Amino acid sequence: MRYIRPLSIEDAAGLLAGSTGTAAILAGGSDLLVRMKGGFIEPDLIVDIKAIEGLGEIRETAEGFSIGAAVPCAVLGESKVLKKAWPGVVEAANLIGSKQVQGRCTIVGNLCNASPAADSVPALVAAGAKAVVVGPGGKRTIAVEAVPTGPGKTSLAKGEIVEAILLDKRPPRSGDAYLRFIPRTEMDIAVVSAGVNLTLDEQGRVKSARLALGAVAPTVILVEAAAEVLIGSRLDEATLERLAKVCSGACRPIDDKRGTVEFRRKVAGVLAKRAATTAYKRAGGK
Amino acid sequence: MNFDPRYSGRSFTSVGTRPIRPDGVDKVTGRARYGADFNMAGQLVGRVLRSPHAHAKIRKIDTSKAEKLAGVKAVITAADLPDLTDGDAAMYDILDNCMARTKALYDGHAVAAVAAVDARTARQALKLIEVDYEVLPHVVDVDEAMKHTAPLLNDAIFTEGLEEKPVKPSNVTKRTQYGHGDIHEGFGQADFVVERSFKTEQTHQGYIEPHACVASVSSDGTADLWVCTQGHFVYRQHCAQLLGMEASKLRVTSSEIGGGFGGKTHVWAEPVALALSRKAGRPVKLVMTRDEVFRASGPTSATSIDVRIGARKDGTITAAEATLRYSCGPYAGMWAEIGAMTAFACYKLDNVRTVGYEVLVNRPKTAAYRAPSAPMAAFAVESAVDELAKEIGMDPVEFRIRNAAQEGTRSSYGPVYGPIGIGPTLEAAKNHPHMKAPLGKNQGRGMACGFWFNFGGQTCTDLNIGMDGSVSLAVGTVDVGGSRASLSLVAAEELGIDYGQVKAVVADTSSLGYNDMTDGSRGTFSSSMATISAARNAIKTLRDRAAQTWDIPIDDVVWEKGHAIAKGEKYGNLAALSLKEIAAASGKTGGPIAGHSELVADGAGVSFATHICDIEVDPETGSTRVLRYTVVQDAGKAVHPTYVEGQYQGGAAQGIGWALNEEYIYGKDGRLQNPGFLDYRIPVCSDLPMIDTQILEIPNPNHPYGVRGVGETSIVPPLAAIANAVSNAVGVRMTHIPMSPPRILAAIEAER
Amino acid sequence: MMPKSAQRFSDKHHGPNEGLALMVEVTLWGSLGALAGGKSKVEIEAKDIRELFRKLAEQYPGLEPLIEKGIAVAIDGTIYRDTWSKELPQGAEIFLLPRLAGG
Ligand SMILES: Cc1cc2nc3c(=O)[nH]c(=O)nc-3n(C[C@H](O)[C@H](O)[C@H](O)COP(=O)(O)OP(=O)(O)OC[C@H]3O[C@@H](n4cnc5c(N)ncnc54)[C@H](O)[C@@H]3O)c2cc1C
Repeated sequence: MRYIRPLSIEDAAGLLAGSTGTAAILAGGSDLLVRMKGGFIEPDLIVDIKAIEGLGEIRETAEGFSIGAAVPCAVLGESKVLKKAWPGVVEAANLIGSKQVQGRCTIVGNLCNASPAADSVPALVAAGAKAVVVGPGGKRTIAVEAVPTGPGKTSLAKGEIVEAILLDKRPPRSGDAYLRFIPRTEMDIAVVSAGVNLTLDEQGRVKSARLALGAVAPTVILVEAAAEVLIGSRLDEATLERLAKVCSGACRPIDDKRGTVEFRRKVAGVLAKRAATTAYKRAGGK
Repeated sequence: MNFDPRYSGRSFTSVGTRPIRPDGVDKVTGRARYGADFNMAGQLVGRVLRSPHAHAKIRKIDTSKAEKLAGVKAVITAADLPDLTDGDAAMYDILDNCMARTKALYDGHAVAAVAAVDARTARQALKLIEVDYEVLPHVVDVDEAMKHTAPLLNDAIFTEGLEEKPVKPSNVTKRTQYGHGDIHEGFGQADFVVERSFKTEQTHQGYIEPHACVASVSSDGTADLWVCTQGHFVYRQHCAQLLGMEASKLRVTSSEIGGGFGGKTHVWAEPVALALSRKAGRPVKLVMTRDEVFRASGPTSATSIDVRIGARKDGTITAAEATLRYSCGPYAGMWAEIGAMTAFACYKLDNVRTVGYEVLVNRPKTAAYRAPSAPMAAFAVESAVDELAKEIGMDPVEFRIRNAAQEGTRSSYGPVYGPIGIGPTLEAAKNHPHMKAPLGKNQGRGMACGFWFNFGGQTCTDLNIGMDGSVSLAVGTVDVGGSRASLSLVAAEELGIDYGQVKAVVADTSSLGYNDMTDGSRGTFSSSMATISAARNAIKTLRDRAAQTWDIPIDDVVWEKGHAIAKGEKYGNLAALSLKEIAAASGKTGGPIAGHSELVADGAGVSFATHICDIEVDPETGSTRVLRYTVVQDAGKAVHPTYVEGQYQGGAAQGIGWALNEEYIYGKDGRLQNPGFLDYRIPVCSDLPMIDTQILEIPNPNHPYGVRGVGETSIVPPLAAIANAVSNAVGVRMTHIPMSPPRILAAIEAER
Repeated sequence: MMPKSAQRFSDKHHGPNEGLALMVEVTLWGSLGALAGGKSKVEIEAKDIRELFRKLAEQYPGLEPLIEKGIAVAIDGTIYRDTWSKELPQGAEIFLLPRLAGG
């Protein structure tokens, strides 16, 4: 097994592209090392991206934010501006594991690990976040929901690395929120989760909305019908009930050790209502 | 026996105080040595190949490729552990469980093992072992396994305990029955009858430290074993018997233990490590992974229990009945029997009958888990008792007080009780402020009682006094919960010296006489008795040495507050001799000073507890939150109250996990789906409230200080107390443990 | 060997029957009764647990293997697992129970 810590993203992409056998990108390692220890994967090459220039930074740009692929989730929680603009994304990232895990893990690792239960992903999808992908063929920017394609599978080609996650600047009267259901209080995997991102008009009616659900299908899903329910409303009781119904209906869950189909359906609706209510309040709605 | 174990009613100086434990600093700084922390020069890594099938015939095992791999020093199968059990069925089961002989009986059953120079090579070697399995139909559910159509695990088993000898083999190994009176007559007198069926899923003790050992067999046939265990003497006996060694040639040293709770009363990997070392001629370290611990150590039973209880309008129970079916894994056990004995032990009943069925299933061999079998029975019974109180319109505590067993009551398992503590714990619970605290929306309160037998057993202790007057105490019961601190307090008390002058260690099997395991809540009960006896023997020698020094008769020397004192006017001018002074002169007065004790500590005395708990349920998700929890339990005498409280809290914490989220989940293929702490959900710190405790001290007449065992009873009431709280919060009776959010939500939805 | 004084000391604490064997009634738990020819109560002349076990095995050979493996004796509600020397006080309730496991 070779371990390499390149200093530039081009070198990293080159190493990966030229590798024979299994190669793996190492960010925080909180998924990769666990899988290696469990004997599920034995990579021949490990490319550690943490020393790459700029990958450990959160930058504010004219368009919004660029979060480097090696920024640990704990650092997101320490960024006041980011927290103010995207509280839902930050709260999702800060639910991952525990203090110790958050000191290492990244949202890009969370995304590329491609678990349908990944905590930061529904929040990122709801936020309309984009991923900057660098590879042998150059650079491309894609919607985050285009990265995972199924449990453990991504659309990234050999040699491709996610360099950063982009989040837009916030228009006024905007808010987002993320909620997950776990049987315990921490150190658990989401049984169902929901991320909601809203912008209101001056009258407090929802102008635009995005809602994503986690752990209810092979990938995190963007529920467009939910946005339709929300838009134009002030989140009255009836809207919330309809929202819950639409979200429950959008689920394609399975029965497994973490929950049943019925449970996931029902709770997806409940979490959607609750997350929408929080996002609405954060956007200044009453 | 020259030792009088009866309670003396004395007052105490050291006992009852709360000093820091001798193993504390090492444990919090990481210096303490647990099972996997032992290492030897040239040691190999042992790994076990386990069956991926729930039930399969082993047609053939080909180890030749693995043996040829560079770095592999030994490969063993059942052929390397020949049957030396000589008709001892229980030992044969242990042997077969350590290494499958003809059939793999559960997912995770060991079929072969390797010892190699490193972990990577060992892992590779496992992949090279070819096992030819014939997969057989399997059964993991206790009710399914009882059906006539269920696949049979062992066709040589015919149910014992039936009126007529069965003609067909069965997965039910045994039927047992307890009780007295006439239940038909009793139910005839009842105005109200509650009848319900309950299920509990299988749980694991969840000790944080996996099984770990280092085995080193020498070419002369002697061997050493360093191991994490609750009973190194028992491990020695079992390993020696299974490997055909003389016990005295196998020296077993117990490490610090990161939890056992019954799961480390049984050998799993140790005979395998010894067999590997014997074959390789080098030390072998074998550490189970978490996955292996879940799949192949000894969780508790899954159960299915029917309960029927009848009472008169005035709140008197007239009859009680229960049928209890407990899974044993693939080997015969007596788990349902213990459930049948304990189920109604808290109550005064004229008519009671319990029937237990031991059921074989394709799951790992059931082992003891803290008051084994009692929590599930208590869950069923205490749930029904609560429901009955409600039907009658009585307060559940009052109803229990009215029917509580007392001195002179015939217990449901047979004998008549002496003085017991169920009444006092109920009275204390009734008067506890917790009982009166207001509850909010979606919140419910539950309470329940629990019983456990407690044991004593064979015990041996040495107390050695150094030349500097410090005292070393060598005990043979593994310290699972602070017993070295408690025993040091006891030695200090008897000798009349400071706690700080005593250092207790757990001695290895070659340094001390045989000791039973630390099980049945016996560690402090038994070893404190032996320590008192050893200290008294040492005091006799101390008095003798003082008498020699003074040249007076020993009968004129008394021992008081750590000093020898010459008794009587005529010795008025003799200054008292301290232990330190006598020890310093010991080389000249007859050599080292020590006290020894070998005894059977018996008469542990039964134990009772009452728990109260408040729960909040989110009615939309079924999520629960334990808001408040109170344990009331009789300790006889709390030698070290902090560690008694620790036992109360620990039992409650494990019970909370069991009640709410812990369970073995099997797939349709009979494989365990959640062999890890991510999906086998024990509570994390933030899941638990501060668990409040109240220690009652009703002295045990059979111990000089009145000590009773305290370790196990605390896990008996929680399942029921929490089920009652959840049921009260949601208005639906919960009958299936764990009450995970999907189960609670489904119960609420079904009621809507 | 026990020193003389200790012998005396321990004698002092013997039960009221002072070493004399008395008839005691012994209750057997369910499955044990089946092995004793279906009896749930038997009368045995015994002063302590040792003698009780010996005579039970003599009179009911079916019980011997179980006694060998270990059974517990409840004397007035207190359970003894291993103390052969424990006396059976006059009028005490003697109950045989299976030997149980603990955690
Ligand atoms: C104790 C514990 C608790 C956890 N709890 C949670 C939880 O509550 N919620 C949750 O969602 N997850 C949880 N996880 C999983 C894990 O922590 C998260 O998925 C985390 O975000 C992964 O980030 P990482 O940087 O550590 O990823 P790594 O392990 O470094 O990588 C994860 C995967 O992504 C790939 N990868 C990493 N970076 C890139 C990149 N820049 N471009 C392309 N591919 C890349 C890697 O090759 C690997 O396949 C937990 C893990 C542990 C050990």
